[in-house]
Amino acid sequence: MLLELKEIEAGYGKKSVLFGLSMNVKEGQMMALVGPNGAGKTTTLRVIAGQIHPNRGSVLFRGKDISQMMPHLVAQNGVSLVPQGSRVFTSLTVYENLEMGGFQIKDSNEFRESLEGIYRLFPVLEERKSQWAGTLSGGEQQMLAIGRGLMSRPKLLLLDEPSTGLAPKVLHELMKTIVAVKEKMNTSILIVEQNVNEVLKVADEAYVMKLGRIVCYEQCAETLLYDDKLRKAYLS
Amino acid sequence: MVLQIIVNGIVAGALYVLSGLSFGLIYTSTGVFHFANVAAYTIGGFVFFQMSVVWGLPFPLALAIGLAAASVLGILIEWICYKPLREQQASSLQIFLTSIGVTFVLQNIYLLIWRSDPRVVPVFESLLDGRQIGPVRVTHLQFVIIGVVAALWGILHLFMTRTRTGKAIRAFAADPDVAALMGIDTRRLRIIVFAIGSALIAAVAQLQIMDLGIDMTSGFDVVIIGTIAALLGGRWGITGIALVSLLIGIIENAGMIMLAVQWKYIILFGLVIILLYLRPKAIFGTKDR
Repeated sequence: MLLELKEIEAGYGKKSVLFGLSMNVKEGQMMALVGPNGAGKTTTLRVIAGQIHPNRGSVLFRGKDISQMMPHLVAQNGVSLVPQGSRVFTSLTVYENLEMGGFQIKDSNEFRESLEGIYRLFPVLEERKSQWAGTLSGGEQQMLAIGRGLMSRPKLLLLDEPSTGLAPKVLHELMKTIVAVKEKMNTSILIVEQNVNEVLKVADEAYVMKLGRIVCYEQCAETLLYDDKLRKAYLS
Repeated sequence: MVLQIIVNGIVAGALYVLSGLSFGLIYTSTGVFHFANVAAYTIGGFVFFQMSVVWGLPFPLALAIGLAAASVLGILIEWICYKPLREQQASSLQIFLTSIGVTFVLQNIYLLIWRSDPRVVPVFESLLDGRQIGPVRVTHLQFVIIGVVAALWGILHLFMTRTRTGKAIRAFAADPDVAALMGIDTRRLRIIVFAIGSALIAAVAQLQIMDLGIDMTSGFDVVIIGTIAALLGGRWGITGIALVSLLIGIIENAGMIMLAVQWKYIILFGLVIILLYLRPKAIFGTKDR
C-alpha cells in the first residue's frame, strides 16, 4: 500500500473537521475523493501533506508514519500537493516556478530531464518560460502548478480541485493530461474534485466523503455516476 | 551649489539604500516589521569600534566581526522573540510591538556597556581628502561609500535572481505555505534572511562611523528612513527601494538648506500618510496581487 490513513481525527484549533477517517491509495492508482462542500476533502489532503498534524490516527506513506512531519519533509519523502486555486508564485517567472518545484533535485542532469518531461506534458510552459507567472491565464497557471508539483517526480501527487476556474473544454484536456501523468511518470494520484462527472470517468477507484468521514468506497469509480449512493451523500 | 547638494544627497541616500534593502528583504519575506534592526545597526557599528579602536585588531577583521555580531543578533531575535510568537499565531501587530520592546531593551544594554558618547573610527588621512570635479567636491571616503553600496546592491540583486537560495526566498515571500510544499525548509530561509538583513544594516553603521561618527541614537534615524523608503518603493522591488532612498537623501539635503531639520520627519511621514490614504494597498503591492 502506498498511502494508508488510519482513524484520522484532525481540525483547525478547537474545530474538528475529520472524525476517524480511514482510506488507502495503492501504487500506480488514480484515486478520486469526492463529496459535498465542507466534507473535509481539502483538510484530508492537508493532513497528508503535513500542513495539519492530526490529533489522532496515523498517516502511513510507504509504511512510514508521516503524520507529525513538517510539510517540507513530507515533500522530500515524495508527496507533492498541488493546492487549490493553483497558487503559483506570481512574482517569479514560469521557469523559476518550475525550478522551485525541483528544489530538492541536486543533480543538474536529473533536473534537466524533469524539466523536459514537464515541457513535453505542457508545451505552453516552455513557450512562456521567461514570463512572470502572474501574467498567465487561469488554465495556464493550473498547468504550471501541476508541472511545478511534478518537477520533484513525486511518488504521490495530491491534486486539490484542479478544475477551479477552468472552462469545461480546458478541464477535459487537463484530465486527459493527468491520466497521462499517472501512466507515463509512474506517479500515483489522489484527486479531490467538485466536478464529479469529469473525475469519476477517469479515476480508477473513488471514495465518497461526508462530514469528516468516508461514507462509500467504490472499486470502479465510474459506477458511482450511475447509482444513487453518490446522490444520497450530496443530498441528505 | 545645486550640484553639490545633489552629490551630498546621493551619498546620504546611498546609506538609506542599504537600510531600505535590509528592511525590505526582511519584511517582504518573513512579514516581520523588524524595527529591532536598530539594535543590529548599533551592535554592528560599536563592535567594529571596539575591535578596531579599543583592541587594535586589523581593520578588515574588525569589520567582519562587527557584521557577524549583527547577523548573530538578528538570528537570535528571530529565534528567541519572533519564532515562539509566530508558533502561537500572534498577529503582526503583536510581533511589531515585541520588536520595538526588544529594540529598547538591547539599546539600553548597549548604553550600559558603551555609554552614550559618539564614536568615530579614524580612517587613513588620504580617504578624507577630496577631489574637485568641476564645481563639486567629493571626498575619497564618499567614493568608497557609494562604491560599497553599489557593490552590495549588485550582489544582493544577483543573489536574489541567480541563486537557488535567493529564488527560494522570493518564492517564500510570494507564498510561504506553498514554498514549504516544494520541500523548502522555510525555517532555514528565515534565518538566512535575518542574517543577511542584519549584516546590511550593520554595514551602514560601519560606513557612517568612519564618515561622520555614530552614537546610540543614530540607528533610529537610519532605520526609520530606510523603512519609509522600503514601504514607498518596495512594490518596484530592489530597484524601487534604491531609487526612493536616493531621492529621500537628495530631498533631505536640499531641505536642510531651505527648511529646519525638524521638518524632515513631518515631510516623510506626511508622504507615507498621503500614500496610505490614497491607496491603502500600495505598500508592497506584490503581496496583494
